[in-house]
Amino acid sequence: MALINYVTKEVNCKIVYYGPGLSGKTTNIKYIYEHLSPDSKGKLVSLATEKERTLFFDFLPLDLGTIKGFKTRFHIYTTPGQVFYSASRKLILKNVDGLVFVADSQIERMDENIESLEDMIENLKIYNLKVDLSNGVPIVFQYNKRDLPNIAPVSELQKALNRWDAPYFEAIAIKGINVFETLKEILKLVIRRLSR
Amino acid sequence: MVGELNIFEEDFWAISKTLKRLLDTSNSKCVILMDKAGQVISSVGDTGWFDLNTLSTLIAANMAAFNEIAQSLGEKEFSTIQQQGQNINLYVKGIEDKVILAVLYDSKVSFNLVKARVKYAAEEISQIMKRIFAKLEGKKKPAEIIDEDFAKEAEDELDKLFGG
Repeated sequence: MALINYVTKEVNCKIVYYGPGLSGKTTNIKYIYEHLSPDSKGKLVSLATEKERTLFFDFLPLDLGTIKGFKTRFHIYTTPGQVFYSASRKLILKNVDGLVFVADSQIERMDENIESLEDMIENLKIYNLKVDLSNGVPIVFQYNKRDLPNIAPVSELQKALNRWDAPYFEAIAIKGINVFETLKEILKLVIRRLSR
Repeated sequence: MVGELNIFEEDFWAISKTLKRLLDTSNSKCVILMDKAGQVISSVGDTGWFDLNTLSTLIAANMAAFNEIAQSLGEKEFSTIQQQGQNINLYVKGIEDKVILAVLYDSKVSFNLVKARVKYAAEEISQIMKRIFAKLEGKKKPAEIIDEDFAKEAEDELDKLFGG
């Protein structure tokens, strides 16, 4: 739920990166943090295990600047992908304004992608939310790890995951390929959704 | 559906007045009101010595986690959290399942005083939030500020930030 304060002149929106474990959600947010100008970003918070697996969430505040006199800020979160952190994933989706689904392109990870997507849809239902580009929570798909040898064709990933015909990007998050493009697209969709 | 929480002048000043009174009467260092996602609605007192957005996000996440713990124990909720440090204490209270009030206070200040003042302030904030949500109910059009022009300008800024 976007927070719009007419007195302090602030617009705040929440973006969540979802997807199976090790699909590259934290890699995305770390790349964004490392390559954005210091003026546009706040502190990156990672609640992770000793082995750098996300335990609760990563959080990065991103300032877009002042639009029509309103300071516009996005709060970007990742969810923990591992199956047993279901409760944490559910909590992070609370008040979400836009979703990025980071899928692992490797053929052997297809089932995990589908399972994670279904988990997301079910968790959204708890908050009476649904993915819908025109009348619900907008989503962008990122098919990550396109540099690995054993990957599914994009057409198969699209068929298995993207039932909304939402925008998608082929990415190599570790090298930053299409990381900013993915984020830019979801931020545009969220703003457009609010403006309707 | 995706909604917006719009805070307009009258309600904002009512909230700020309540927070300021809580700050003064409880001898706190600062008081923060946030939504359940940790987005700051208003704050009073000295917040310059920490990152306000990060702190609010972590407090809201903590509150959400504790509520899950409560439910798994058969409780409806844990409505408050109290944390004690060597110098600073933190007292957090959920209000009406909609917003979260956090008070940072010196560890020498009496917890019972803070607790009593927070209870009183929470009742006032609860009334204000009910008013805000009643206004939003049935309101189909999102905030007027987020219009076509806003979207266009925001898209230009995004292109500048990420390359267009």
